[in-house]
Amino acid sequence: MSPARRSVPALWSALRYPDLPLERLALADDETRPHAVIAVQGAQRRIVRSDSRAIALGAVPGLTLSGARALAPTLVAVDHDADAVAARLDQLALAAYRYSSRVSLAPPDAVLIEIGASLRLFGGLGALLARVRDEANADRSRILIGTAPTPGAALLLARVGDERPVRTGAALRAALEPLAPDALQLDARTLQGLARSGIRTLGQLFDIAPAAVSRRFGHALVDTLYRLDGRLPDPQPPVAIPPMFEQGVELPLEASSTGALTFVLRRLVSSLSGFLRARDLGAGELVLVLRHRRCAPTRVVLRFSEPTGDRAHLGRTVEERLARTVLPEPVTHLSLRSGVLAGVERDAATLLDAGGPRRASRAEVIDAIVARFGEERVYTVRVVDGHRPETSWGRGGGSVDAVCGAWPARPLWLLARPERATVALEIASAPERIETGWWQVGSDTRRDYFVARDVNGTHYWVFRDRGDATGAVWIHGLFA
Amino acid sequence: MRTVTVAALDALLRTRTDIHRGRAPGDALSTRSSGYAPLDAALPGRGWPTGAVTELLVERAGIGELSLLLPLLRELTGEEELDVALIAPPHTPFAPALANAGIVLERLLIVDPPTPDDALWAAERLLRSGRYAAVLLWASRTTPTRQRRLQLAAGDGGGIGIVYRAIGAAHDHSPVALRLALRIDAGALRVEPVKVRGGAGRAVELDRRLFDAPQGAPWPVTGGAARVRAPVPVVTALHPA
Repeated sequence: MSPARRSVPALWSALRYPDLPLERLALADDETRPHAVIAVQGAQRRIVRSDSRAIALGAVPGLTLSGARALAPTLVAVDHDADAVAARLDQLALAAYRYSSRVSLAPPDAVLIEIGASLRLFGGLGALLARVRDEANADRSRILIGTAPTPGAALLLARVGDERPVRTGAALRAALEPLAPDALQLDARTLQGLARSGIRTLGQLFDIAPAAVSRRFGHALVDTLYRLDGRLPDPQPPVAIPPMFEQGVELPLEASSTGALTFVLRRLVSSLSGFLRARDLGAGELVLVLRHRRCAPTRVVLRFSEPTGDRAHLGRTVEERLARTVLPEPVTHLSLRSGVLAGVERDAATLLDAGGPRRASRAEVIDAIVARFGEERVYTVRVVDGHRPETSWGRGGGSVDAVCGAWPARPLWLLARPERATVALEIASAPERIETGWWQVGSDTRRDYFVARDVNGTHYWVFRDRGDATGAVWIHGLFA
Repeated sequence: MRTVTVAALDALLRTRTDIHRGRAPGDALSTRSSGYAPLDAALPGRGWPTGAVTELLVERAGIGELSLLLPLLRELTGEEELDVALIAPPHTPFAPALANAGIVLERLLIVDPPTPDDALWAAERLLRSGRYAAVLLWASRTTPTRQRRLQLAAGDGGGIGIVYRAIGAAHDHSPVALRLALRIDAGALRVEPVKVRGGAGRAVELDRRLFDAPQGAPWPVTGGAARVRAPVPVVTALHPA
């Protein structure tokens, strides 16, 4: 073990999402139909990406849409939308701030994160990568992770699908040598030159003297190779963190139930939690906007009892609230925006025991219940300084000094409104005169309260109205 | 010598109803004192089972059914990091009475769910959290399956689940380990075992005056037409021996 406080060697992971163009289709929970993305090529619409179900039916990329439909009649096809894919990659980059404070984009389908500094926090490389995979699975994103000491090598490994982490410079060389130069995203002329020279692996290229490589294939290739194995620095521009969170998703297939929105929302919450971690803030309020084709947008405001940045807490609360949201019409677009943000205390320990049983915070539990029932159905009571029984309690915190035993006889249950006593009651206490409010118009109260009991042994809190000549007895509470 | 010491310590601990004892061999139930010594003596494990659900089958409202839990609620709300909850109470829990009983009101959550199903859901959620050390649910409708789920949630969270049901439900099957019937009998609350897993409980009668005292009722009666009884030192009974 290296002593603490020594600077950790850099280690990069490239999180590559190979199915990114298809991702926005695989959202509905019950979706079992084959999916494909199409693009206009010449006069025809051709498949550019298909999912595994479509491929199994023969609807492979390159096929025309009509040809694919003949093979797979239930095929769901949407046009390739480069903007939507780029927007999704931005969301994934924000979400990646959950794992690292250094996040960069590697278009078209990858995000680079520096993880050397995060290893201790997450309990080691294996635990960190497992967590990244688990959270990608939960969001229904297929992921390939390349890990290496340089960002270029990490990306290269992710592109060729080699997920074995490479941690040292020596191992890096060995891992790169068998790879074909094609993976380097070089220009066509350089690639042709390499092919003509019989160079089929990076190992062969590394064996040639740099000056010779520069002379034959251009100096840019030498720089590329040097960045790959770390001889040249390869600075990565960080993804900018916006001051507020606002992300939306256009739904290619209208969602008619809130259940179908769950996955879209889950992905947005992943982005949100990355954003909150990057800004070191918690969300106190969130606004969810569901757009429809004709109706006015459905706007849902979620308030948290305490600001939180916890992924699970945010997700559960938002999902609970979504589940009880009534949709006037199918949803075409969904967006999530942060309202109030506030500082939170981060508990590093919670990162380590993710998934295991842990004690929920009070705020987390209350928010889940409020999300389902509404704020008015979840409360605490407090004592307020009012003499009339009806005004001596209120909802919410901040009691007046509630001294144990400070009050005369008070029942545990107060009836919502007094009920006329219909059975014979035995008065069992001296009267307590409660007489206030005469100066308040319409709330003149002059009552004598007693403890009373019926033959069955139930104890009541009753009163007689002193202005009432009939002497009627009203039950106002039960000693439960 | 060593054995004697351990046995003595064990015996000493057993006399202390206010000390929470974890599971140990020959001591299958983990419990918390009810705060009423006669009731503790009658309950298996000498208190309310923790990490489990107990059903209280109530003859009528207003016989002391909530007072029975007040010492527990007072103890739990007085502890850091622990909360308690009342779910679907039949009437408004009256803050002055709760304050009289020494309950920290900020730690007592009240949930008023729209349907009986929602009430069960909320109870499950709170019990499972581990944050709510006691969850009292007034269940107007439940099933053996839902009761089992509550039981599991309580097991996960480690809290005390109390489910109030009408006394008619005593004949229904229920998977919970402890079921008690609450009846009023000549001015006393009679707590009778309906089902005690792994043991035989016994009935116990608790004087109503124990209950009305924390609610501030001025016993003994000092005026009016009522029969006057001799004063009893009720407050001491609320503090565990």
